[in-house]
Amino acid sequence: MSGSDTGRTFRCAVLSVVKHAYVPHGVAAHPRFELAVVADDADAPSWAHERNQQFANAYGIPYVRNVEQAIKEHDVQVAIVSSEAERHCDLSVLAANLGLHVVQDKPMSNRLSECDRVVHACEANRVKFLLWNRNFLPSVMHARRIVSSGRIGTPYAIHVDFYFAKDSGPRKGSRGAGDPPINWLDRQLEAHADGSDGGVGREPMGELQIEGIYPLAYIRLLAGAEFERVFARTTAHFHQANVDNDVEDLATVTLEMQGGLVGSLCIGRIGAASHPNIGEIKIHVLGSRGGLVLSEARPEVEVYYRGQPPAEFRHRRIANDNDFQLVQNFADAIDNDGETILDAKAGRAICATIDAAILSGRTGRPETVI
Amino acid sequence: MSTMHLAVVGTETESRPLIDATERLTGIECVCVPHGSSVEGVDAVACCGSHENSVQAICDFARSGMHLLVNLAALRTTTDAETMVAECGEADVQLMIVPPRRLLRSVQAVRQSLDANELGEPGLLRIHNWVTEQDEEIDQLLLHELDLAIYLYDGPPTTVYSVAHDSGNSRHFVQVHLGFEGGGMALIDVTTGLPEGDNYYSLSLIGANGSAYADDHHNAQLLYCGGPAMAERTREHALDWTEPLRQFAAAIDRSRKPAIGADSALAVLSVMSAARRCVETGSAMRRQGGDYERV
Repeated sequence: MSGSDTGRTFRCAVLSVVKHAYVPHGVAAHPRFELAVVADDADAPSWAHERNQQFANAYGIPYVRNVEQAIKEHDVQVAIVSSEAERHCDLSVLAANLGLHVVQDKPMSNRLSECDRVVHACEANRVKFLLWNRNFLPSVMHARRIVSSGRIGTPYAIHVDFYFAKDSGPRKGSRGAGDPPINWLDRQLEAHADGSDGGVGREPMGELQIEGIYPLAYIRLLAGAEFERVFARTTAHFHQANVDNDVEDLATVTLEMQGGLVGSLCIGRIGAASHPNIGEIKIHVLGSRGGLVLSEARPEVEVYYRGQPPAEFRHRRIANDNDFQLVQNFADAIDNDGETILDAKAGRAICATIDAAILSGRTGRPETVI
Repeated sequence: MSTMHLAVVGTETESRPLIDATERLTGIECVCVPHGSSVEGVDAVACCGSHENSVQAICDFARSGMHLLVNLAALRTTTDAETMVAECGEADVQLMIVPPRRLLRSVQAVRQSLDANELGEPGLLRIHNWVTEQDEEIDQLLLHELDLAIYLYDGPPTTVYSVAHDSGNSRHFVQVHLGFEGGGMALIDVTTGLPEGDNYYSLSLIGANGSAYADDHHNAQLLYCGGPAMAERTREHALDWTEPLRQFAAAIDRSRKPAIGADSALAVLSVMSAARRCVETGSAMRRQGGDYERV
């Protein structure tokens, strides 16, 4: 689909919006994007239909229980995919094959072969793909400017700490004798209420798969290099749901990149008691002429008041127009036949890195990123 | 307790924290001695720094019947530690090897929080230690941080992996990734590559019930003198040697083994050796018995 008519409005089909809907909300907030229809497969579970309908009602747009029909009948140019993780790529491929540009929620997929299908479909149909990310946060852009300016010289090591100080159901060790293991999907559906349902899907996912895209995208952005080899340690340290489903909630990854760059990632869903705000999220960069230590949350304002709910973050991020910048970047890519800040190939590369890290966590050996 | 006569061997900078500690304790009389000087008429010697001939000098002190308080930084290999232990055993003198990083107030605060069971079982230790080339050798820098990992996890790692970055012929960055029994992990990076000026240190420990963050970033103050604001750190006080010195004096007085003997030094030197082999071979190492073998 050509984007030669710069400045036009893009009509969007929201394909399955079953978790907290930050992606379609983010797209809809941009003046050049208009939500036209919500669609899902007719055989989607009832809870999915219910959430799709609620979202459609909130925007006053129709909900169609047939994805192809919705795309064909509503004159849409963009698909926004926010389904269960294992359906992400299937819906993106379907949309790309019908000529739609795609904005997809993370994770790209829990299967690398699915990512390959998206890469191929986007190339074959010459459509743009944006994997949702946080690369336009003010602090990340600040880091990028400092690195690009050469003030710390050539980077040789990049580290990211990415801790979400959130709980995720019962604590590890809380399961009583004779209690059944926690069902992953049931837990995620329950987590919808507080917006911590990032792992929605039938197949359990650890923190690397759910959130790893964000910090690895930072490192990739700052390093300008691909990941080649990883060594990882993974464990379920905090939450019973992770123990029961054999997926990690805490992981560390040593990263070896092109050109001899090295780095590391610490990631975890570390529990609400572990930090007064969303969590310690930091970027450390070492270069040939200096180092950079940066808090991802800044700038922020601290707000405290009597009667403040315990779960409310005391530090509020400000000047965050990540959503707008992402969508603007997507529009620019369509208008100018350019690349998005995190396209299908980049998303696939990150997915491959996460796959290798999970494998390394099991084998105890460094693993090559394929 | 009888008065202990102690010779403090080292440069002025190396010796100062230990001398300060002697002034806070009763029953210790202290003399300062530069490296390489002869030492006589004392009960014990404290070797504060790290020098190429430290091990030989320390063994000479032991053979002269002096008890020894040694900075971990004086050791480079497990052979160093074993030699020292053998000499002290033969001479029947006490040997206490002190890892000075453990004495940092911030580290003590984290350790106390762990001991009070506020944090729960440790899951992840993250350390960044960035210094300038003039300040320390990369191996010594790493040795101290590996010791902290063993200290905070109460035992040596089961798994070791390491990568490094060189500038020309000189190694200026090492990253070590550790795994511990029960799933705990640590990621440590050290560099001597900062330009001349301030150093940076950060230690965070994520436990099952809570976390501790000791980070220079949090302790930065701002200074405005035109141009961009400058960050200045309100520094921790000097290392507090009071407790190890008190334990050392008590061990001598009561003829019993000091709380920090040579075992922890041997453990950390063994991890250090495994990390070196990881960089050389590109393989991870797993603990087998007291040593580490390729996975």
